[in-house]
Amino acid sequence: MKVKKYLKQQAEQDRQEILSSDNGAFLRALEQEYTEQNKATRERKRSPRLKVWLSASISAVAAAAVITTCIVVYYPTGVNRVEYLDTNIVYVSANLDEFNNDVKEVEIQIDTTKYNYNILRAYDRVSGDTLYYSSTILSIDATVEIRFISVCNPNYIYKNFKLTDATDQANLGNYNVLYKSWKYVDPDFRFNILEANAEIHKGKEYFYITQYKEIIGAEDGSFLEVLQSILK
Amino acid sequence: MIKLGAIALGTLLLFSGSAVSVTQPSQEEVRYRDTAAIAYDESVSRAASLENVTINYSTRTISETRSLAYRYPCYEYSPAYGSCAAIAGANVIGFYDRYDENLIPNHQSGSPIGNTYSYSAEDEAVKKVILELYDYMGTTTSGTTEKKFKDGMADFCRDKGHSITFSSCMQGDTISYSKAKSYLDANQPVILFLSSYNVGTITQNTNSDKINYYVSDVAHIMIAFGYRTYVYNGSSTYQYLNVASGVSGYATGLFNINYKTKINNALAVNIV
Repeated sequence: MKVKKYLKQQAEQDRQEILSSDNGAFLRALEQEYTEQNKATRERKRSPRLKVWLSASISAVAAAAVITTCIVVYYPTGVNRVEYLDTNIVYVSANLDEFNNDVKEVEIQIDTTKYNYNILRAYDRVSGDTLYYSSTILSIDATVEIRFISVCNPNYIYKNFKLTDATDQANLGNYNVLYKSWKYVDPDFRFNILEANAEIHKGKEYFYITQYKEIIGAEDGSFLEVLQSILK
Repeated sequence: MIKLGAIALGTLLLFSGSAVSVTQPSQEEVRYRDTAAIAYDESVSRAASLENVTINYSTRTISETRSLAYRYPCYEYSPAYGSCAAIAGANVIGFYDRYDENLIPNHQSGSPIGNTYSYSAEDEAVKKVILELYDYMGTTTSGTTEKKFKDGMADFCRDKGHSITFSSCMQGDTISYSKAKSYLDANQPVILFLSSYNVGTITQNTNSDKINYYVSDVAHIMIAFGYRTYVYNGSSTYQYLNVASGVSGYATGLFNINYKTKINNALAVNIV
């Protein structure tokens, strides 16, 4: 221990003698440079550790973003979640059999001695899935017209109709119907008109009566009777 | 590690954009490159909005009204995306089929009812005409242009032994309601070329009317078969055209010429 202390003192003494010599300035500059290098080295040794933490944090955030994006974009939010774009909807002609095959909750029956009709099937051209049926039924004497949409695909939401201010309900055997109706005198031809809009929700299927228009006389009109005669 | 994460994130974002994007095409996207003309592509239900407007009043009058028929042609059959022009053209053809049944073969145009007329519903013969017009008009899934619409109608009529004329109902860049009414009074439907539009139904009540609007900002073509002007409280005027829209759920209705619409052109049409 004493030897060690002696050697240490001697080293310091020698250092002072050297620095105070003619080459002292050079040696002091050299010593200062060495000291600064050591300091930079110590800082660089500290910086890599910081960089590692920083990299790890950024990577964790990026990974979380990727995973979150995966979940949001690709994970189904419900059973059989599908995307139907309006730009992919196409209509084709359909008949009563096709309608009654796809629509499960009600059956459509049309007395062709009283009515002409046109049925269109709307489907998604990408998947081929049927989305809904659009039906127009016109009485042969042109006094009654009814248009309705039958949404038979539980994954499709029909956006073009919303029943507002409906105040009446009726039970028509197989289903309940929520509806509103109003009367007026046609301003062009002076017919007494009964109009109605309605909505039926049965099971997973929706039926929207987007237009019912009937020329009536003194009577009240036959909206519910006509509806019940067509949708069973 | 960082680079790998960034690449993965960027790639994922690129693909996720294509899976969920349902944005409406901008005006530039529906223009044909060679003509920079507006292409009309609305046919089936789009992501439009349904809006309700209530008008409270103490007095209401219908100052003027005319409809070319109690029930005018209002077809909906859309064989492909971008069919609105073909449907609109078919509505015009269906209207004039009353005066020449050869325009739509194997089709009963309609029947008289009271002192007016009720046009028949869409049938297979009408759908065939819509398909033909789709081709005549050079329609693609991006729709077609006004010029191609007019050329297609002219070619169709010529092939049926008829000619067609178009007369402007515009005053500068805006529709002239008076001109449109004049042509409608002359039993000529009016073709509306629109960059945005509405179709409404009015429920009249005591001291308040409610108008349910279907509003869309997609380029579209509709046919006017009449007009109606409401005046509320002596001074508030609402000018409508009775239209066949070709839009599912709103096949017929009233088009408010001053509500959320841009009318690019309005042409009265006559087939002789």
